[in-house]
Amino acid sequence: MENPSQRTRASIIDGLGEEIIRIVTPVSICMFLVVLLVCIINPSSSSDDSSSITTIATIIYDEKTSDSDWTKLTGALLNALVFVAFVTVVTFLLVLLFYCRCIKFLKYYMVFSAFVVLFFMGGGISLFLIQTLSFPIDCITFGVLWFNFSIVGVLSFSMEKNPIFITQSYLVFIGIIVAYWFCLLPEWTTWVLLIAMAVYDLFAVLVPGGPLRLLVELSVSRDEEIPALLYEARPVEFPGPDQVNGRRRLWREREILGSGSDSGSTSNGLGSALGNLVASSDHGVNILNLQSHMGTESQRETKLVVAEETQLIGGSGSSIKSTLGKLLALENRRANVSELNLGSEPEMDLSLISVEDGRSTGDSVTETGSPTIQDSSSRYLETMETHVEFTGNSVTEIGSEESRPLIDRRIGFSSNRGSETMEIHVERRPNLTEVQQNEAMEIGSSRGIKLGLGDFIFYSVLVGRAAMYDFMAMYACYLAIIAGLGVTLMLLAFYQKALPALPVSILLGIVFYFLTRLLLEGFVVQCSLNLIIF
Amino acid sequence: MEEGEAEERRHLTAGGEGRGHLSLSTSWPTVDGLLGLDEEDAVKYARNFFRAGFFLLPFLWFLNSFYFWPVLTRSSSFPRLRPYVLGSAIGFAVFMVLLCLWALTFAIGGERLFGPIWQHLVMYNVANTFGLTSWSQM
Repeated sequence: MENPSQRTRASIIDGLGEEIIRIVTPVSICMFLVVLLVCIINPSSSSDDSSSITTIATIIYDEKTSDSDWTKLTGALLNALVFVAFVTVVTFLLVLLFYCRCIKFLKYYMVFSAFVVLFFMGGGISLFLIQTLSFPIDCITFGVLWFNFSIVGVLSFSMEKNPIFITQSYLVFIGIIVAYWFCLLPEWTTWVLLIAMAVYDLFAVLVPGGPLRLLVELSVSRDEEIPALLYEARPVEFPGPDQVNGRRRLWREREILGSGSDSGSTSNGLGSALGNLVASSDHGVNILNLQSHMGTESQRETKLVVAEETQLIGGSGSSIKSTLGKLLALENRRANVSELNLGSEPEMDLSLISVEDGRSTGDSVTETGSPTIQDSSSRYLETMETHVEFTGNSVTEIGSEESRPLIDRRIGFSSNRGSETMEIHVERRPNLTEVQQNEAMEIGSSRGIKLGLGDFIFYSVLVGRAAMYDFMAMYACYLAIIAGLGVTLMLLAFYQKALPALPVSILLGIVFYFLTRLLLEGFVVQCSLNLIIF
Repeated sequence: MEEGEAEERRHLTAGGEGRGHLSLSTSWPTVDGLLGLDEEDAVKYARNFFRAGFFLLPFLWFLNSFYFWPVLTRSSSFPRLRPYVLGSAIGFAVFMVLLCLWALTFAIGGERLFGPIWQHLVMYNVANTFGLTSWSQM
């Protein structure tokens, strides 16, 4: 079995950089656009003391520039405490709803929040842009574009199958819009709020009684997925040397059996939740429960019991791939998705997701012996490689925002067939309909890294706030956040469980911001004035 | 068995984002390749989006043509999908041309062409008139 592991090791290194790039790119784009918006619309200069927006975060104390520092600090602390308390309550509410299996409600709520954010807040931002730039667009054109944008965004979250690029783009848009609105908060409140959210994230995910951890455990034990807004990067292919035909992966393919409602929706949750990073990946072999029909009639049903290893992994692709190192390969048969889809079995709550085929046809895999392969002509099973996911959630300020942790589970299955080890990883997607809290974009059994939308939002808020002060601080914070993200990914690979994405990056970013503001700026300005460097 | 493997691979890697190489002769109609829809679902999807696009939603047509880009580039396959995707692409192109013509006329012509009605139609005045941005007090 050295060969598979050797191959796997080589392929892990090959793909790791690309996986990281695929998650860092959207985060960077989000931050860049938020900074651009903040610079163009420039709320800090135009808003005076009396026009600060009233939100949950400013309910207690409205910051005014004339107050003393101590008043501002205590006021900001109170605001942040209220906000965190609100988020906690909402998260527990989400856990309760999820526990009572009100998944449909959660999904509808998620879609509704997406619509509110895209239509009202997004429209507000566009109007600000038009007014600031005096862009001569007429109301008919604007109306058509605005209407289209919102409707397509809503569709991309409520339907199961969408272009991956479109779903990712809309998640980034929502992140940008919510982050911009967060940047409108008064300054002290913003910083204290960021710190409070980072601490909350840490506790909620790692402490045994924390709401996000409860949610993760619930979803793992039930093998359901939480509907939430979650950004999932496209999985990276790792062509091994022995794969003649490469691998096939069915992304987001799932059949929800027995639920009857809209099948296997991706249940993109809306909303921003707390930036929790939850990474889960499948660690071993589990029993896969799979049921499929052949053709239009159920002639044969295969049932593989897959026990899921309830392991939440927060690791990068490398560790996952190492566990995966075994051969995934099945016959090269095309898995007929429609056949796998059968929703008529009430007891099957599973949705068979994609398995990835990792082998060519050259193997001596016998079809008859394998309990997983059923249909002769159209079943195609692919084994999946490991995947790492981060899930996070963020909380938005709009009335009903809640935080929602994302959980992603993978089921692995391995069976020994003679000398060959096959692993089938199947991800179950529950029939999630609504997400009360925000995010969880459920992307099927793929290996992409998942990052919660809350992480996007709070990173962008930090960078946007720094940009409102000075660009040097903004660059420093950007580098700090990306470094923090890298550290979190490494920790994920190391610990192999769900991890919060906010704390490391936010704390690094804040430290860098204050250091830049206090120390670096004075140094650079003096050097420039005296014409030494810069 | 529609196309050879090599040709499919070429099409897949060149045409879209799907990365897998098909070991079978089936080809994927969506731009996501392996991760996208298969043919039966794709037909339903394409049909629904084509019809929904007539409700002043040209972006759905764009989505259709973007998602099923391999169908457009490979003219020989997917006979069931092709009319919908082609219709969506043409509809989107026509709509965008009309919209751009109108928007450019409005922007470039300005008051000279339209007269005082221009001030009533332009968006930032409309926003001020209806107080669309005052809810945020910005």
